[in-house]
Amino acid sequence: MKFAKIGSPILLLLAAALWLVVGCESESVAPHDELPELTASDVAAQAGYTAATISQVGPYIFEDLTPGTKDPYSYSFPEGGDGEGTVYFDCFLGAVPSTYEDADNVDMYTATDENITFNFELDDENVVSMVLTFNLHAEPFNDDPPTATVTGSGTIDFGSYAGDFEIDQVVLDGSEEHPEDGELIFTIDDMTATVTYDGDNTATVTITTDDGTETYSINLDTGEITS
Amino acid sequence: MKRFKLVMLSVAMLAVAITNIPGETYAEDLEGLLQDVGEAYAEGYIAPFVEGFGTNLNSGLYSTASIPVSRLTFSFGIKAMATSIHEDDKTFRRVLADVDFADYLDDTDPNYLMNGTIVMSGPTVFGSDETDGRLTAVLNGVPVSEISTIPGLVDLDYTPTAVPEISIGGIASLRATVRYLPSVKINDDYGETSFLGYGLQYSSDGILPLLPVSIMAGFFKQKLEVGDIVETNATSMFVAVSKSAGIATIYGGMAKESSDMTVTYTYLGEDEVEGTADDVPILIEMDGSQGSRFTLGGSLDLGMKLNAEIGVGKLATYSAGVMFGF
Repeated sequence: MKFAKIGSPILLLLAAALWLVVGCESESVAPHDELPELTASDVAAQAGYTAATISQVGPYIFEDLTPGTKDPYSYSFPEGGDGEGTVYFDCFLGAVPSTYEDADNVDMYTATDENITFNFELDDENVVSMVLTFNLHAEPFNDDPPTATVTGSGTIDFGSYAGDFEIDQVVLDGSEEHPEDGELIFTIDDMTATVTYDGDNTATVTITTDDGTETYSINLDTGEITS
Repeated sequence: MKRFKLVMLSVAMLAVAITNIPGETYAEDLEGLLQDVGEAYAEGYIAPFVEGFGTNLNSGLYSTASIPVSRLTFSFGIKAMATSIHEDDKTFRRVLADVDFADYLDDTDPNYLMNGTIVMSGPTVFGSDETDGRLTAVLNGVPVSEISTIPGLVDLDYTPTAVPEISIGGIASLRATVRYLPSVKINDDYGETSFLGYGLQYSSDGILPLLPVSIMAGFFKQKLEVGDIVETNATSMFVAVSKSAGIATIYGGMAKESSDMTVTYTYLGEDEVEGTADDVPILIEMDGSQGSRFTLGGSLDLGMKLNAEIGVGKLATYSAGVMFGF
């Protein structure tokens, strides 16, 4: 058979080349533009919204949704409200599961592969939506009067930008609207902003850059940032 | 059924003239989606199609470098091509920094008068047809407004195209090839679909008969119009080499090529109603980015001629054909 007699080195070379290119893939041709580099004021705003959101989500730790039981419980934001998703709570006395009333420490978290979307209302018309995951631990925790000192970490996604945050000894008082004390450290790209709570409706945002330290104030109720 | 929709600007729109399949459905699918988005969004959305379709047209242009010096040859058949779509091209993202939000947001949006960054992202024409894209207004690094846009047209891994082809050769080592479909009226709104391509190849067989391989050079130009919606052009200049043994031929070549596409539609604006003052005529002109390619392929003469090849440039295109004749 003639086909079997092919011995040309050129044929073999071409065949080898064909074998090599089979399976080649196209390069990407659709635009995938980079987002604009964040400025210090951008990061301050993001840190501020994160802090404001934690300020509003944190007090849910004082909601006793299953009185008298030691079972873990959860809170699902009602449809049409500020949030979407579910926050989970585990109450402990020491290391032992306990009722809410007996607990001296509480875990507050989003479940694995779940998140919550929080819609922060800047005013009647403007809403900033953020997607959060977090794993927080409140210790010490008291139900009456309701106070808790919270530590932990989480992630926050602003849609186009996403960052991480850590909560360090943030003191919540169920009788007050805003955290009494503590810090939230927000990190995105190579920038870090520290938000310091002080009990009123404002918190201080501090960012250290190559150009020095910049300080902003965040209104925890309106999200307004001022430098 | 969705998978058939892609045929809109490729297989079906070319096949419409042959099969009388109603082609307007496919054109309407794309135009109907594009009418909901502006020019900047549409450019990102259709980019993989512009690139893939132009690259397809410049594929399958030869299956041998050998052309008889003075023995007439004639063949006709179908060439099919498919350019692989990079996984990243199922989605796109365009970022427009420091722009006037009034150009993108509804005038009832509280941020309408602000300046900031517009982020357009979502599935491309070949991305998920179940997920909507979005246009987000970003101010100080946070999203302040978001608009849902359009889903993909059809989720595919390859851009397919098929074209009919006729070749006549064997006169002074020349071969002429034509790709053609008669004009077909889609409907009164869209006009006619037409397709014409032509090319010429010259082989060295006559002047360099002692070479162990055949060498050929040629060019090919093509133009496809789909009513008033799409016009695309593709041009290729190439050199090729082939070696035959019995019924088998292996061939390879390199080409300099270009392609472009013009897409015309009406953006319906905020009211999303056609025929109002909000309508904005959009004309998008895009060039394909692939400027050259290497081709490797093989063919078998089994009475009918079968060939398969891969073209590798910026994009990878697979092509196969079946040709009848002598």
